[in-house]
Amino acid sequence: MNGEGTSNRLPENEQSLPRAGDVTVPMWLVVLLAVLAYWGMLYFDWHSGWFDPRVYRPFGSVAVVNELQPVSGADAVLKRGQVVYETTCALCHGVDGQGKPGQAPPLAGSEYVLGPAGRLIRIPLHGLTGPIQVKGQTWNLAMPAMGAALSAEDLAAALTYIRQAWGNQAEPITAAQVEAVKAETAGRTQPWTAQELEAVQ
Amino acid sequence: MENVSQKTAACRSVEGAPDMGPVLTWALGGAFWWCAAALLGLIASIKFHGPGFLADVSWLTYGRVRVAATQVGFWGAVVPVVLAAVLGWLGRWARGGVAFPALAMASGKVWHFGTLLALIGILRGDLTGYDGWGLPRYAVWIYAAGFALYLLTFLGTWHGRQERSLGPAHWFLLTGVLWLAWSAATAFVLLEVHPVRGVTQAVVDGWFHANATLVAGTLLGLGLMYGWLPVVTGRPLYSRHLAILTYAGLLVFVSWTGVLPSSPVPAWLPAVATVATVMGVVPWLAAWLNWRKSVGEAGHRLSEEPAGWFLRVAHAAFVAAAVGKLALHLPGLDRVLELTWWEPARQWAQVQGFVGLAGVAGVYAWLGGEGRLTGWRGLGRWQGRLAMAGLAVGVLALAAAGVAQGLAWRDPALSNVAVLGRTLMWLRLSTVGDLLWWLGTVLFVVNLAGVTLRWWVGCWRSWWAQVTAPVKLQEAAE
Amino acid sequence: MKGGSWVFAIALLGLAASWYGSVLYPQVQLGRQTETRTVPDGQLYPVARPGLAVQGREVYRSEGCYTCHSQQVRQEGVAVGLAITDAGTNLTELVEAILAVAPRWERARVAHGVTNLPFQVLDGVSPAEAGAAQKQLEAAGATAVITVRPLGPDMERGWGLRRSVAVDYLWDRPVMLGSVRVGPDLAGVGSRIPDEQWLLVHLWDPQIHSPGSMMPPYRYLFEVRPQGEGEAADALALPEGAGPGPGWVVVPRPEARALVAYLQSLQVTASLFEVPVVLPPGGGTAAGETQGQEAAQPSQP
Repeated sequence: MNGEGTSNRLPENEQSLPRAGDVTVPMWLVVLLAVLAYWGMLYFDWHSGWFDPRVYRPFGSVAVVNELQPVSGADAVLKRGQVVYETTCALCHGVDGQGKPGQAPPLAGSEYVLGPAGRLIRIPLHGLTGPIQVKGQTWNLAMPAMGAALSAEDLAAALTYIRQAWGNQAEPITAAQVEAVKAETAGRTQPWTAQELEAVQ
Repeated sequence: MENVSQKTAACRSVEGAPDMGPVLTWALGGAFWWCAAALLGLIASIKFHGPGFLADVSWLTYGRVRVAATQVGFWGAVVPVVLAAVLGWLGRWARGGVAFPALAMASGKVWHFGTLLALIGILRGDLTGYDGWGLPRYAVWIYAAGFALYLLTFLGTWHGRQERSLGPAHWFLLTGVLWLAWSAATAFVLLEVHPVRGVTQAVVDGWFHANATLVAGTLLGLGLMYGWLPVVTGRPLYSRHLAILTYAGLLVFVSWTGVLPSSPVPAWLPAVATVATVMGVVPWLAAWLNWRKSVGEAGHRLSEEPAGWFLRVAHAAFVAAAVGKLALHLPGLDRVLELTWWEPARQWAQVQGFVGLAGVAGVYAWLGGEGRLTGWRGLGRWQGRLAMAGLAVGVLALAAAGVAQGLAWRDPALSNVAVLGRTLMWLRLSTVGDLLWWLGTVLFVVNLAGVTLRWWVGCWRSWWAQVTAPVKLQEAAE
Repeated sequence: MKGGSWVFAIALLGLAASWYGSVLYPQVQLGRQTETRTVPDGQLYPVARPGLAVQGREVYRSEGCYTCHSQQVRQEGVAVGLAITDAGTNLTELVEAILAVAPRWERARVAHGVTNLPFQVLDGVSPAEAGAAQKQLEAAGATAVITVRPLGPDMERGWGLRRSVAVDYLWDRPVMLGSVRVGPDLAGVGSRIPDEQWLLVHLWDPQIHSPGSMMPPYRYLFEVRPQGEGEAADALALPEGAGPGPGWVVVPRPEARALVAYLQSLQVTASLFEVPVVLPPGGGTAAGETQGQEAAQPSQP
């Protein structure tokens, strides 16, 4: 009712809004934009996981998440077996299981590795002597009882490892099986011969 | 006699500029629902202090009342008032005023009916479960129909503008109206019609919320401010280039901010949202700078009329909401502020304080432009005071509650009830804020109802005056 | 004005980019997710909720529970450590190995620890350090497990074993993440409060278990019947003064039961690729080098 009369309002017949001014964007705002953009790119690099759907805060990347993955039971056995193998057996049989001429026959593809568990377990428990056919070749060396000092779990792990590495595919060997063979062959001190092993199933 | 002729002239002048019907239909309905929403918010707030208050009726349980207050407060109150102000502004500069006025009035009535459906549906328990998208399905169809009709008048009025070149207000308002519709449609389709799977729902809901309230809401609020500020102060907008920087920045950056930092989604989503929010500082600063320089020394003019006061409060709320949003995403602060009362405080400032009051300012400025029907200045002044007080007390108290709550949740020695205890004093204050805010909306409704009533009375009187005017001697003689 | 087409182009580009990046691309990445498997056990996850729990989810939605309770557990880091689960045969060698790997322990403490398994030897170290320590301890004959313990206030409150991830919500519609934690987070409430009676009593009157709580009572989810009309087994066991009085019992309605079934189905415990969790098998000696405290049992829900 008394709203009119203020002289600052545009006259009623004004046909258009006053045109917006032409002042340019101040320099500091442009610089701020650039600085924030730079920060933004860094932040994105550090924290986004680069669009990987498997990366969640607070992890920075898939590599970090991978490092934290728990090892399953089976993998743990293989890991342990590899450690035991590489410290105890690889010196002669090679890290790659190919054996060394004059030292030890290969394990990769070996019929004794892939054959019955009882046969395989006896070899490291008491050693091997005399000629033996491995992959078509005859080897005539002497293997000491390298596994005699190992615990049943360690031996089982190592044997599982050699049965599942380098392309080998065979059933894992359990500590119980090792214990059973130890019980069966308790008192034996002589190394095994190939004929004796063939008799084992 | 002078009074009668004033009112007659008022109605007649209105017949020449057919804006009163459309704008008042949208605005009065919006104001009414705003009062209802604020009352629901007050009831919800009172329940903090006595959880048994009205708890035995399932229609009035806290969860439903809170959702109703938020949804009706946005869709039923702020959106119609803003759309009314937009239509009024466009009509002011258009040949022949608002195009298709009858259609515009119908669209307003359809919209308000949709709000009624939404309110009843929510209180009955048809909640969506999402924090952003909360409308029951049947209400959405009604809203869509109302919006479609509104869009026709909007575009018709747009087409009828006398000045062909577009200013910042034009881009902001057109984009705001269309983007609000697009984000709502996307949310409705992807959440209700053909729902997406799993947590993608939350991502879509967050995107909708940011785009409807932060992007479209800010576009509409700033558009109304840029549209009416030159009229109120008599000075042009300071810089077109700052306006376009604001525009571009809002669309390019702020539209990505819908994901909260510790949402159960892959890390890139919250990382992108954080970067986008920090980059959003640039358009926000540009808007602030534009305001400060546009007002300049003419600040006293803003104190002289209701539109000016509300523009000022809206701007303050805009700054508060921007700071609140930034704080929520800043690495380090987010750990404390996320999932606390900070977010409702920020939303109150953004949706009700900034967008809503910009709409109120627009409606009052448009009313002032109609010359004689500015409403009772005293009421407008008191509404302004109550709104300002309610907003300040409520938002700041809730924000403080959020900080206290965030810090308390981080201390595992505090039990759940102990955490509540830390926030209780602030929540009491926020209830006071709710009360003041509601009283402000009551005054808004009373004011607009008075304006509408006087306009109707004026029109009837002018009709009656025409009907009972003494017949001229010459005509009688024929 | 000139440049109207520029304005249109900016608008289109900006909005299309955000729509593509925030709606479409997440749909491609997350919206076609299917079940995953836990690590290291390889179980399918998540399990679909039982029918009563699905009904309960509808009650949760319809009462607006998500306005006060969130359903997303947060996490701020991980602590990687090493725990011994089997000390092997050579304890003295093991003790020496432990002291070599973790010099801050006292000898007597270590000697006690190797006989009280599991023994958390290290905590809060890098995965590489933990791996190296594991090799050393295993060379001494022990079995050592690398532990991965999620850290954060949510974990310390017992709200979950690890943070919530996308696949947790795979079967849920709607996904009610909540936005304010007026009350505690409920994502893991099923493991925290498995007791149906407790939950029912809490819904009837939250003041019984949590005096001073702001949670409203949901009495309309229950029926108050005169005593002796059958179904006494369903009646809530309410403390003195909290019930409807002598001669009356409170029986939960189907909605209350469904809601409780839903709450009991909420768990955040599975260890997944995205959030690995390896905790030492319960009991035993705590880690001495933990910077925070261990995942404590919550004192209250």
